[in-house]
Amino acid sequence: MILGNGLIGGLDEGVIRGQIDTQVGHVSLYPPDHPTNGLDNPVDELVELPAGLDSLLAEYTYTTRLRFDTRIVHGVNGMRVVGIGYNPNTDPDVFLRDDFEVDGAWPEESDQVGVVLGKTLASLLDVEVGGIVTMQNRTSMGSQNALSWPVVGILNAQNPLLDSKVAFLTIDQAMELVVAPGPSQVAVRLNRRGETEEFLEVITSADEVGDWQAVSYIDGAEDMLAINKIRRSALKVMIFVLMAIAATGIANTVIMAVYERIREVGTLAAMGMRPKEIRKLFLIEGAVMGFSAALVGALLGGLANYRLSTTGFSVGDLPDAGAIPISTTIYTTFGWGPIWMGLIFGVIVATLASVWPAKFAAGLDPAVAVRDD
Amino acid sequence: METKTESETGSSSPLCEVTGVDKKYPLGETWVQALQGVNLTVNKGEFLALSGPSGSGKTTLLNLIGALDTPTSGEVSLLGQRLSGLSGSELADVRSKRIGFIFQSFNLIPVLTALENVEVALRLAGEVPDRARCEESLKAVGLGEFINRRPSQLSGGQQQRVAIARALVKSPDIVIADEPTANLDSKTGAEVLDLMRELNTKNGSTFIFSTHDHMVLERASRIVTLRDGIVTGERVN
Repeated sequence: MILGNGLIGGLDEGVIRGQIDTQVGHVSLYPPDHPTNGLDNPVDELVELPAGLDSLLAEYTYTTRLRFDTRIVHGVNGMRVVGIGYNPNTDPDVFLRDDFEVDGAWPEESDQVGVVLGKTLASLLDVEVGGIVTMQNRTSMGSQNALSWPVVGILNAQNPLLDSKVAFLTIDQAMELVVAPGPSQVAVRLNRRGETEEFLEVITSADEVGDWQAVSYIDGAEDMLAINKIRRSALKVMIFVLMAIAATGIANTVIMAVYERIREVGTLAAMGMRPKEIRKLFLIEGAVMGFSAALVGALLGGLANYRLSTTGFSVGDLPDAGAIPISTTIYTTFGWGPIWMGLIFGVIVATLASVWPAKFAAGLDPAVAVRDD
Repeated sequence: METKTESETGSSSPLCEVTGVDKKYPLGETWVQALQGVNLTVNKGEFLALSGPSGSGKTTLLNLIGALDTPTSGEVSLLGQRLSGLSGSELADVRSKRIGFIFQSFNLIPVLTALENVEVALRLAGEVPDRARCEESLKAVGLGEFINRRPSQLSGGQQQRVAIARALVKSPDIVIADEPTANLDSKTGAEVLDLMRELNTKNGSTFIFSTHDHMVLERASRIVTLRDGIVTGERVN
């Protein structure tokens, strides 16, 4: 239960972090009528940034990106990918790269040219750092354009979307390739997630934003969170089944304890122990058994969960999960709530499972029980 | 068979009276008549033996006197208190305060020491377990050196002595012993019986036994014989 909750909590957190750290920031602005799902990246309706948006966002951490669908070619190999033009000066403050490994280097100045490819994409294109790739796509005016750049970095982001479907280049290069009048996304990173709703209200009511659409990370994570909600429900069913199995085991253990000690129970009854005291004796025994088992389980589960919440575990490269912006290193979420719940549940289930055996013990005929072999 | 009147036994005050008691048990679709019209008076300070073959009703009668069971008809009273009609908890109260039990298989709690086994009897009687009193009780049965031993560390005779100490520590009105020597060799059985007889004489504790053992019968102050659930004879030693 503790690990399961931690894992699903971790998946939720992974989805949210994936959205914030690689796709949306806390809030993103998209041009009017532009898709906001991050999957479709048309360039024919791009517009200039609204006047005054810079000053509106001046006190926030934000960056601009130009996302576009493109075909990247190396020799005879070609792939359809998403090109992401980023601002080298501001992008790392919004979209965190701390956990990324790069063979080569990110272009750090706007005038630097070069492309950074995900490791899976680079492998599929059979290209290494220093190789030349060509990007072909429609411009914002409907014509075709193709430009060639060297590969300056190969990225291992441990994120199937970034590793297999994305080519990074500076926004100046992207503007040149797409001939775009402006970016396709303005992403804002706030100090805390809790500020998102408030910021969203401010930004949507600001005149400077015009018809641009404001979207939070929650909108992007909605589908995956809904799937996780189903997983959580399935986990509850599984926990119920496991609890039922555990309850059967405890009931069996307590009834065996009663059967093994029929003469002892009879002796105590003969000496004057009342039926309700005998019932209490076995209920306490069941509760102590449940507490001990729950304590061991909670300790093991809690420690394992704590370890996985700090070091995480890798689920592999997931090359087929290219559209999912989630890290392939999953961190569980650690909290004391599930541990306490596990302990309390353990005691309650064990005590309830002991009710029938305890009632059986209390109902033994002392005259017969005292002579049991 | 020689029979003597109650006054000739040397004890006169009735402790327990069994009047016209019948006891039937269901057995499948039929009933077994375990006792039939039994009348018996147990006087204070007696060392009474119930004898008879297996199935004669000795244990059933002991269960009724010991408040472990209630009769199908008739009355059992202990110091004037009718046991018929009492609830399970009320019978438990009578057993905890007024009756001590000694069993054929000793029936000590295996995880408790000799001292703790004796303390349990006081706890169940609603008394504060007085360690000195429990130790005294064990010393009285010759086990002063063994108070911290568990039953598995004691011989059969020693275990039965602990059971005697446990039965007597709460100063019960009557001690019921079901075949107390059946699991002991003759020498140890004789020692245990002599001990009980000594406690009977010294403290005036009332003992009632079921037995086939001639050693017990020799030491009993009165012997009541049962056959097929009916009292067939009574003799005073």
